[in-house]
Amino acid sequence: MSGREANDPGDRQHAFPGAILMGAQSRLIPYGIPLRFFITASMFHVVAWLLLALGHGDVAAYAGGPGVVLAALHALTLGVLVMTVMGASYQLLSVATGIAPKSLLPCRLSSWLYIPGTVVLVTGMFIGNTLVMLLGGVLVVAGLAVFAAVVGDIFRRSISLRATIRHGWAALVCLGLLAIAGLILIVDFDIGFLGAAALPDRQNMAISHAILGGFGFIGLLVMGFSYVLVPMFALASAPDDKVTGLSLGLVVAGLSFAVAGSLSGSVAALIAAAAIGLTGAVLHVVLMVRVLRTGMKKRLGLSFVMVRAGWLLLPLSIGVGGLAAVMPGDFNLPALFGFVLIFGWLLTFLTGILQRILPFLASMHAHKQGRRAPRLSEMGHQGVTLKAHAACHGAALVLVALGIATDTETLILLGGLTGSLGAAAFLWFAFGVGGKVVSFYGEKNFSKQT
Amino acid sequence: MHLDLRGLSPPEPMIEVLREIDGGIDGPLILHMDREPVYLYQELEDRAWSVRMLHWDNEEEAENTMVIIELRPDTAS
Repeated sequence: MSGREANDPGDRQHAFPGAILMGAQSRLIPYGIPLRFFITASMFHVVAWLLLALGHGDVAAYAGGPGVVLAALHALTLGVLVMTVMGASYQLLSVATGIAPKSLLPCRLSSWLYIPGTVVLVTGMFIGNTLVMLLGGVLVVAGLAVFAAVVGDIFRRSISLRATIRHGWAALVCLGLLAIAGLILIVDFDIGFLGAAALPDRQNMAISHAILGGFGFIGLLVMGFSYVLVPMFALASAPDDKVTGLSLGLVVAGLSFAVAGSLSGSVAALIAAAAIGLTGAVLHVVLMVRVLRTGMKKRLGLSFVMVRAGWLLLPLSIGVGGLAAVMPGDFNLPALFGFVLIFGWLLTFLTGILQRILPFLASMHAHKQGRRAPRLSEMGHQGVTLKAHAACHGAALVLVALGIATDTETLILLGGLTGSLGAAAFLWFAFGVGGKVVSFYGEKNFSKQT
Repeated sequence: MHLDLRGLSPPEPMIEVLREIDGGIDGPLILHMDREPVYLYQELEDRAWSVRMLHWDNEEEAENTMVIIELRPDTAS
């Protein structure tokens, strides 16, 4: 055993009530790694809503193809949702499992590939240039492959967090399929081979790509991380492993039916997918609500208002998806499904969690420095920024959803602009917390943390 | 009082510790853990409890890690 007795740094002993005297090699990775993902996600958040506003005339009837709507979708999915999940995975997995990545270089490498790759891909989609899209797509897939290798290694070595790890493995399988489908779709823009012979047509491939991304990769990681993060924030025991396994099994079965149904164009398979997936999702939400009820901490603040709203939108998105399979011509249901899934469930939930994680990680890094942490609620001007974000986000969701359902471009434009304002407020919050962390380490030492 | 929290999945170790503290124990508490309880620190600071690392291993594999931590209420607060 390579154990060491901790030094007792007298100058820090009982320096203040609640002093944290450590000295151990913390599993905390340098803050600069997750921070670059979180700040970039907060910037893409503004871009995604602005692009949605810009493309307001094409949103309701959107059925695929390059342009501003495709750029908006990927600014949100790749730029905000996956970006947030990557940063959170690197930071939280190592701390929660007690297993640090073997080297930090792959974490950094994934950011060097993924962040510029997303910028290039979204730009290529916006200008409709296949070569630019392909370049961005290859960089994004390479960054995600490195990410998958890092977290897959932690999953393999971990002996705890079984529910989270099981969801993680299923999410990585979906990531592989999602990446293949995405690259096929880009190549098809120029060559147009989809739909020929026995191949699924472009529209069906795009739907399966969306389902694998929304419910598969991002959704499963979100559900898996919820089983450790929500009990941790609420100070409650984690749900029973068998029941989380049942929920996962139902969600994966629903996903499989949904992908098979969308590729083959089978409405019956899509209806079965919605029914099975809905059961699994409702079970997940029930488990989470039970965690909040039994938690020692009852006042969880605005972040959990967003989280609870996200839980309401999860089954709603599956319900709208099922309806879209049955009556695709009514109320622009396919576009509404995509909006409720991505801007509704996933964005609402993840901004709720991110506004909790950012100050929390800042506080952990203050402790790592042996310093008193600022109160979580005092970081990032939350009284203004997060309240403005929540109000604008809620209003934007209602306006755009109504605009899509009623084919009213003005409502979509108003919703997109309102969402942009909320996202700008969130960015202000993220910069505020990031600046606080820089001040913990001091400008000089911060470069070592990046 | 010693608490052996090895083998518990997060957040169970944190819950066990906070149950003891909120239950009125006046400390000190010695924790035996298999990972550093990073998430616990903010809660301890909120309750004005101090933390001192007594022993740690820095093994790569979680199953080989041993961390011993002393918690005590801060009398100055």
